[in-house]
Amino acid sequence: MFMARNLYNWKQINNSNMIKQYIKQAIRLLRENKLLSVISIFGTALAICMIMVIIILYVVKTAPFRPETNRSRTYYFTSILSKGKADNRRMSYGAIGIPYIKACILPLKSAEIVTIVSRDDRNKPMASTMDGLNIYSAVISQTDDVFWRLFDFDFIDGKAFTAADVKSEIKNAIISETVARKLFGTTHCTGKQIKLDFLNYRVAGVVRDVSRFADKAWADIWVPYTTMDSYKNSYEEGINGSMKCYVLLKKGYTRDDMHKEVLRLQAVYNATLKDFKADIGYQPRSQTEQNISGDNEKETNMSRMYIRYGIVLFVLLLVPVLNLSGITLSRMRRRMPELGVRRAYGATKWNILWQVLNENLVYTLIGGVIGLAFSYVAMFMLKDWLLMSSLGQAGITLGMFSWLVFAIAFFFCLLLNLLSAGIPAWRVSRNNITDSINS
Amino acid sequence: MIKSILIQLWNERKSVILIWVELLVVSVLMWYLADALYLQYKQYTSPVGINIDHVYHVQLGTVPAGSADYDTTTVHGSEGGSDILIAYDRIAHNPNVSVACFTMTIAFPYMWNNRFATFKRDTIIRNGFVRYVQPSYYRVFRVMEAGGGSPEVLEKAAMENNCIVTANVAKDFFGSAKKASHKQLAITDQGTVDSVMCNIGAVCNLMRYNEFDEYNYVYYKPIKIDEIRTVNADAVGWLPIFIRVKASADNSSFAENFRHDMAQQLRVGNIYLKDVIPMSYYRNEMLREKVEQAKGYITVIFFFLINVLLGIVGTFWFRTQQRHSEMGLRMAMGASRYSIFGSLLGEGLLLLATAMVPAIFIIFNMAKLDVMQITPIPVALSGRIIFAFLFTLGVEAAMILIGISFPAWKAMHLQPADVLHEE
Repeated sequence: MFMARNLYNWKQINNSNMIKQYIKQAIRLLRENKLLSVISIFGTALAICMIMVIIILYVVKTAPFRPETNRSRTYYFTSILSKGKADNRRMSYGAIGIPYIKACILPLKSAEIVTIVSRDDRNKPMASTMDGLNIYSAVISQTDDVFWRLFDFDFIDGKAFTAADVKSEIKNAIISETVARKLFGTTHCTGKQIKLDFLNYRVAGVVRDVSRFADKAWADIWVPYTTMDSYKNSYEEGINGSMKCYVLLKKGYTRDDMHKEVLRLQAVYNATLKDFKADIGYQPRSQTEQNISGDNEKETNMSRMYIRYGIVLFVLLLVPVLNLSGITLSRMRRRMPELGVRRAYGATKWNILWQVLNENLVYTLIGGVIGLAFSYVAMFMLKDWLLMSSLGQAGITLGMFSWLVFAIAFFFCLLLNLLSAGIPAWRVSRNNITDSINS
Repeated sequence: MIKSILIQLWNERKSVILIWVELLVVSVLMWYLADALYLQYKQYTSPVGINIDHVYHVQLGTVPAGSADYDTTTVHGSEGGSDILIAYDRIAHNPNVSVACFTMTIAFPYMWNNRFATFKRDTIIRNGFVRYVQPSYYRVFRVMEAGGGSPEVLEKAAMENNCIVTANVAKDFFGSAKKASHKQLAITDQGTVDSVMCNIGAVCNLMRYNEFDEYNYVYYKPIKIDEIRTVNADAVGWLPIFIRVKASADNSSFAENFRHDMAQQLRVGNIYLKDVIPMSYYRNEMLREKVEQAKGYITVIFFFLINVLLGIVGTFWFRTQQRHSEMGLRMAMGASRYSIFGSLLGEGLLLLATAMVPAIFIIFNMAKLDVMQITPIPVALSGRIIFAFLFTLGVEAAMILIGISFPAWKAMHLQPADVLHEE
């Protein structure tokens, strides 16, 4: 009778007060053994930090953020192979020529937006004021009007160039905030003239700076591609050239639809050529595929890359888990008598298991919060050491402080807790009551 | 002594098993990472075939036809080739420049631009690259002749309109560099159908794209100055110029000063001086990914080490606390304080030693399954094994030493009387 009532009480208390009780107890235990608390919290923090740095980098490279807000639907054509028509000999592999784009990519029915972009990061022209006094060596993106629809830029002043500008080769330039300040000392400079090497452009708009993580949208200055002669260069009967295409997939179509469509158009185009034929390969690529393969010719092996990520995360979790379980187990051993008493008073195995997991979760969460903070600090401090190419000079934007990142961090905390406290909790909950009390 | 520690560890296996497993896992991973680092270091230190100290890329540009500054007179508008040569001469005659050369973009060192070439003789076929360079290229990049001869030997051979091949081409087709001299080799360049017989003038050292790449089969063809005279000024875009600067004149502000001094002189027709870039810039750009990877490995090793340290401190802290009475008893029976410290440390090191045995077994099997890193240039296996073994063992032992010292130091200052009293 007594036992039955007690069990009933346990269940009721369990729901509300017990969790509070566990937390209180956990904090008390924290203070009791400072060194061990520091070790387990620091161990958790380190593990979470390491994992979060990897996750944050993955997220910023693939998840959408301004101005690349359409990443999930954006697909990329960045390179093309030209071959000899008769003997399939390899001619050239590189960026795409305008004639091919006009024949095979612009007419795609599965595409909502097709923007043409050419940017040479190694060759930085001089942007200067007309008097030549203020100079900025700028990365130029040659593009078109729909670029500004695909990417969501934040215009501080003026507005984007139009289809008419592109068609009529009007020298209108959009400049970044940094360039505007460098050249004119202000961000309100629409209508002013600048020189790009030897060509005069009118500033049509000023946009807020873009993180280098937004690798496709990023540049210092954007101009209509028709205003620079290099776009006319095409080789191998128009297959190769200097352009890339970023395409927004129309709703209701899949990547495969687009791939098949481009192959169809390509076959028609190839039929018109005399000596060469084009091979677009496995393109278009999604954001993730593009991030892994870049402009590589081979098909992206996604499953292999997820397995690799999985193994790395597993290993980075495994070592701290072993570590923390060892410490938790030792700690639990010392509390055997206490847990034995609880069992003697009617707590079930599950109650004990639950208590240990809950208490441990407090440590894990404290460690998790510190770890997440660490990971941001690490991203700032180690950007030159660890992440130099991805971050470039630009540093980190707010784009990565997303709920997704917090949610993933919390998930890994739970996982870490379950793994590291699971074994000890299971072992102590199974212990014989009399043995526990006697120990 | 060792036997008694082993027995003790075995009896307390339940409390040390997790730290033992951790040491095992960390040993395997550390071995893998240390091996990868060693391989990369070996790749990095093998010769690349060129020397880029004091070498700069002088980038010329052309005024676009749409500019108000564009010179439309025929001589500059359609036959800018001689303007390129004038600019080149002015660069080469700068007192700070020891030697200058043209190449084509497909021969731009530390860039991925290339043009394939297929080498054929009898039944042997090799795939490699063709590179067009002016004969002075060998002096600019200090390319050595395979037999140890100076760059001038190669330059002389190239001036006689011969091809220069790399040592691996000579070895595969003719057996050695010496035998290859003045022999003929059929080569098909990418984009062409027919192969051309090429007269080998000299053999140069092995070449590769960068410090982490494999050695390529390469042949060099000379660019002749007369051919440049007839081209359009736009050709400067695919005719990069490189200069070797006198060591005494080279310093961090050289590029800026050179640009400042030469800007006027190099404004010829529609040509202007765009930029002067040290070759180290291109090298860093190309190696960036590999350097990052190496840094990533080091970071992960560091992360594991801190974990090992935490685990060791935590485990041994508890163990010594729980065994106070045992230690008090041992001291009372005449054990010195140092022997207590020593036995705790011995426990840690034995734990590591016993974990290393299965770790080596796992590594051996990983190697059999080809999971270990592979490199373009082979590295001796014995060196790899010795380095990885010593690194793993040494660093982990150091961590154990640090981790155990603190609890052991506290244990050795116990008062036997107090402890036994508690008991």
